[in-house]
Amino acid sequence: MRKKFWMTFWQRNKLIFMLWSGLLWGQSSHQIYGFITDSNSGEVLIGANVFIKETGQGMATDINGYYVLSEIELNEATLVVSYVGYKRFEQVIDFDITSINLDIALEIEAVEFFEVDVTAEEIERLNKIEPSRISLSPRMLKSQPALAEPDLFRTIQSLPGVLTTSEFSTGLVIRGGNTDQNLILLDGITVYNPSHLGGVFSNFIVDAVKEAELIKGGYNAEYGGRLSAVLDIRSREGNRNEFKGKTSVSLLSAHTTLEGPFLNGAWLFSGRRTYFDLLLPKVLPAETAELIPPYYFYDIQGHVFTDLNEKDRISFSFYNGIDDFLFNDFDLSALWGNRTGSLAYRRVFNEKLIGNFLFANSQFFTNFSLGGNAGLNSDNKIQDASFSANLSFFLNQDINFFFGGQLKKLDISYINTFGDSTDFDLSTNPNEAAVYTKIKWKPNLKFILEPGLRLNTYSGHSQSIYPDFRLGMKYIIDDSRFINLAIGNYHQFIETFQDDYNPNILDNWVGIDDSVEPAKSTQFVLGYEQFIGRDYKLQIEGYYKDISNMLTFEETRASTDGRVSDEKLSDILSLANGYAYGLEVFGQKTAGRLSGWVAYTWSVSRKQMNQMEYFTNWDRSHVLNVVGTYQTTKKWELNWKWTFQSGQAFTPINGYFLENLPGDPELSYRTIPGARNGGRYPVYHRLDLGAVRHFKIRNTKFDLFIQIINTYNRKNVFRYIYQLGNVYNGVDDDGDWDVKKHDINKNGRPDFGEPNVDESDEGRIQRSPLNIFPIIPSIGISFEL
Amino acid sequence: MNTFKKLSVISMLIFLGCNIQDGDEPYEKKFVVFGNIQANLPMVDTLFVSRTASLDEEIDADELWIANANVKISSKDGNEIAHPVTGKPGRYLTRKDYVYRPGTKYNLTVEVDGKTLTAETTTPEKMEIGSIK
Repeated sequence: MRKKFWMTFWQRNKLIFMLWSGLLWGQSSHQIYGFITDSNSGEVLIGANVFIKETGQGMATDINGYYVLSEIELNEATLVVSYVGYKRFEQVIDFDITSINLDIALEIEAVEFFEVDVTAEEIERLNKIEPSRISLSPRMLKSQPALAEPDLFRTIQSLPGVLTTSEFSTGLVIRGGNTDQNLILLDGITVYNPSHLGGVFSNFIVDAVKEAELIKGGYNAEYGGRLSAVLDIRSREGNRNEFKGKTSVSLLSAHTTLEGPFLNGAWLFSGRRTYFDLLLPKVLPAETAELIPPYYFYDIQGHVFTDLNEKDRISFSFYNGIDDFLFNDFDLSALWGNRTGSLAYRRVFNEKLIGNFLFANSQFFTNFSLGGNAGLNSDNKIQDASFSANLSFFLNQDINFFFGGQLKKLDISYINTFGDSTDFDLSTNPNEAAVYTKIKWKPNLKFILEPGLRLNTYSGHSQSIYPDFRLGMKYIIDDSRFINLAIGNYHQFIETFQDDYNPNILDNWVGIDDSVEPAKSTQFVLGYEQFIGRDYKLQIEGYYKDISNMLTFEETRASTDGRVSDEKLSDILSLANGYAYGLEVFGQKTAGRLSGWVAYTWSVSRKQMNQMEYFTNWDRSHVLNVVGTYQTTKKWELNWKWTFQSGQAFTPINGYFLENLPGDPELSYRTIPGARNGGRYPVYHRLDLGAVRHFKIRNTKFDLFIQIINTYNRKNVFRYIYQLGNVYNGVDDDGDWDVKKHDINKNGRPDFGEPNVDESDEGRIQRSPLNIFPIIPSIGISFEL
Repeated sequence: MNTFKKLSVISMLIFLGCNIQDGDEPYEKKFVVFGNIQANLPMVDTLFVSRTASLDEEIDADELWIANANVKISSKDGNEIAHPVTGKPGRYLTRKDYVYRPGTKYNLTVEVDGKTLTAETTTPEKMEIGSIK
């Protein structure tokens, strides 16, 4: 009886005993801890592999570049630090004291072709649970062909499971989740719309990015407030040893990055501006140039930090990016952008406990106007002031705790006016708060478990607590083969509108109110991962995602309809549910002259609303990406990206009829839509090629880059344009009038006195494809001081 | 069979078993009728009868009008025929001296190509104005 009691007691309290014994035991053995940095710039290195050569125990550095190895039983051990692109560090440590603080600066290795330290990578493989997780370094970003300059989002789009809403957008659709369902963080600050118009650039300047980590699904409790995926971007800290600068100039844009020491730290400033608005009027004929609206954007971002002492660091970072689009001919203007600023404090409380605290402000706004003050005006704004605390407690080699919280004070407004009248005004001032905890536990040599819990509240809806349960798991088959699993549920309280008929180009955010339920999702991810030889890696992942309560605009409920109230979200929007599932295969060659990847995705993304089920308008069944770099010599590098995607879903126009409303003397055409997202655009494919020539003049490094976007000039369909035409003959309906007959003076318009330029096909609705990117050659140069 | 092969087979089965084909809704030709009546007035706006066109159809707007429809408006007082307007195919009118009464239910029946379209409406009651101050 007594034995049974103790057995039960042991079973129930095993974890507590293990934690307690870990604390005691941890104190009796040796440990070593510190930061890993780059010897040239002094910047910390995220994900460097630190391990004891004799026992193999080790870890990868965290986002602070911090490591701690405890429970070292040896009195003398060899510490090894390894990181791609750096010389391997080895030092014999004599543990004459229990705890040793050792900060290590790694030296850059001058290698022709990137080698991977297999031993070190094995350590990383054995310690990280990373289903759906991909780390993107600037080196990886720069090894792809790009229009004008490398771009973070363009690289992400060539990974399996990632799509865009269109070729004209860099908004990310990840595993069937809409663009607003991704949590995008820059140094811990939420960035609401990180895309510029045209799909060429996202907001982040690659030279100012240290690392970006994309988690496509099943992410754990440290992240919340979004349904689908996380993109966590860390900006570079700057060079704390010397002043450095890099400038790049291409046909479309110029950017520069400057950095240098500051007190006991460093600063970095990076800026970029496009100049299509200035260049095109000078190189194009006047008649053509005046048809292209002047558009430009700029981004500036910066970071400054100083170490107060060996345990405390404060830093300040900011970002400001504005898009300015003005088309006087149509009295059309659009201005949108993001502004962020943050003050961060990092403290090493002791060798086992490290904390990061952040005060941040993020602002996103769009101002859209058609027809000036007397026309349609739409203003959307988010003001997000937040405080967050994230702490890591490295109890011992087998158990680590991660915990923290976040408080957001939000001010969201979305106002639509037409002339003097207000169509709707959706303004809210909610607070969003969350606390979380996550445990990383290695119960034996075969398993790693990461259970997590996040509790959310949102004042704009109710005082309820919304719990999110998360679980990550890794099963180690052997040193090169792994099975990963992740399960979790997620809540989202601020969302953008979805419009199934007319996909939005500009995002419009709203905070939910009592009239609708918060969006929620459940995710399941199962993956297999295998490392083959020194250079190859294979990942196969399947996922299922269930989504509820997506805010969707229905055409039948026009916001200008006076019969409906416009004070609540439910008056304007409907809630839709959905689900997505898919299978991804990712084969990567990581080292050697030839590197790159082949990524294939098969996926399904569906919505359900009003008892109807249909594809989302970003659904594509099959996507294949082939991305590579080949270093032909020390001086020349070739790169390519080929994308093949099956047709994207859209709602077609099937037919039309004549309409004459009472009291209106004029007839007009009215279209008949087909099934919601029941049509498919033609197959999309595109090849981008690039070449880079490295050279030096005196001590300045130069890179001359040549790129060809859409090399074989594929005419991919961005949208179908429906020329409604005029029901009366005698008017050019579709704009394809015969220039030879009616434009004698060649000014691009019908000659004076010849308004009738009808052709035989005039007088009815016609569909024509709109193509965005023709073949675009580009050239540029960058140099580094 | 090793783990990788097993996973590949399972993945292929999922892949082959889960393909969804919605297909688009096929276009279907339909007839379209627009008309309105006002109480205490004869038919002022013309009643239109036309047909839809598919996007691929080579047809001009003028050819969409239906000139040979039988259009009838009926109420408790009897039936009234809407006659084609001369020179304007697809347009129909009831007699100029036929005045639509308030508070009355009217049924519209259009017969075209062997098909019958119907609609009904009730005109508003007569509005009584008490006094104007």
